Amino acid sequence: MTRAVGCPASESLEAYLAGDSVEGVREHLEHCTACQTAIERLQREQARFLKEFPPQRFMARVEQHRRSLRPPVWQGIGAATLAIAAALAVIFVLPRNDSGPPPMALKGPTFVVLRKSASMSEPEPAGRERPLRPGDAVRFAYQAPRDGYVAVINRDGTGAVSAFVPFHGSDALPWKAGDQALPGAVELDDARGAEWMILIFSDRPFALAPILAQVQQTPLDRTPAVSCASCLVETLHLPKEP
Amino acid sequence: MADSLRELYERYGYLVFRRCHALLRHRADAEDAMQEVFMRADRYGRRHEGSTLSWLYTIATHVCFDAARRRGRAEPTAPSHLTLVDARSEGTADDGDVRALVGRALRELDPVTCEMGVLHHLGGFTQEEVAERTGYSRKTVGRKLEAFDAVLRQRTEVLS
Repeated sequence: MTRAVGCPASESLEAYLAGDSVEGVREHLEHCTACQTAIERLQREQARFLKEFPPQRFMARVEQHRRSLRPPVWQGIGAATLAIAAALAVIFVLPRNDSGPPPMALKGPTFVVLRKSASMSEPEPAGRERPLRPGDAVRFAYQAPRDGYVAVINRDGTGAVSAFVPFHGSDALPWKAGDQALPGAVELDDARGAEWMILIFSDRPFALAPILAQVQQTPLDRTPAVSCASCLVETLHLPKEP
Repeated sequence: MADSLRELYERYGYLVFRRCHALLRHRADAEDAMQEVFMRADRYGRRHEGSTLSWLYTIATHVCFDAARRRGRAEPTAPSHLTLVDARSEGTADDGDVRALVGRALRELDPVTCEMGVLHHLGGFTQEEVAERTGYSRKTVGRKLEAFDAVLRQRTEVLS
């Protein structure tokens, strides 16, 4: 990508236009007519865009989309919810298609995925008997063996990989041994096929990009491979039905 | 919450739409993707250091990456029209061709390589700046951008 010497990246100019604090851009614009011209063009295009797609229209589409999904009211994970998970004690996992090791069965609520649909009053642990469904709100609970850092990576049935905890984050979350409910809830889309939920715990901070790459590079018919130094990895393969 | 979403859209809506359109090359898909970006941003809140636009662009890359893989639809574009469909007309004509093809690479490469390709070709960051932003070494960034560019070259050859 060609860029004049001394000029900031186009993304930096765009961030400046939007009002973000971007070091050095204001000073640069004082003496660079090319970048000033670029900013002015972006301003004109932005004004045209907001005239064609005004905020009221956008908000109306958002409300329409939300009504169509009927998002569940999440009551929050409390001790009662984890008690349900504890009572179940075993989380079932789909058998794999390859000739590898037998399916995993985790005992005890170390890593739990809780699902809640619009029609449910209480969340329940997801599993073979309780498949995930499109539109479900899922939350995660994890009992760490000690203080450290945690992340949850998802690979859906189409192979799309993303960080669920922290959501679209770049680094693992600090996590205390006594904490249980991971922050945030994720609403599942309509991608078909079972969902892999992969929890990674480490004593040390770690970036998510290398983990995402490893999961992405694992063939779809294989268990996502995650390898990181001094990490604990717990993997759940959860069925998903329409 | 609705007021903050509206404010977010007013400030960043055009730029996010523009990025989604650059990646998906389809207006209606870009509008859907843009909406999804803001809904995710509003739902989950910001947990990202740095500029808000960079955070939204990261979400946009992921949304568009997922959409491109699910869509699996190829939109043939003749080479002579590539620069015309580019949203920005910045840099050289070759830069415009590259930007027009960036979205094609989303279906064929892993998220890390795609993110680097997007930062470099759409964000305008140098390889050093991409390394700084992603935490990878300059050498790794160079290697991954070579892979990204190889896909772009392959696409250009298919179209020519």
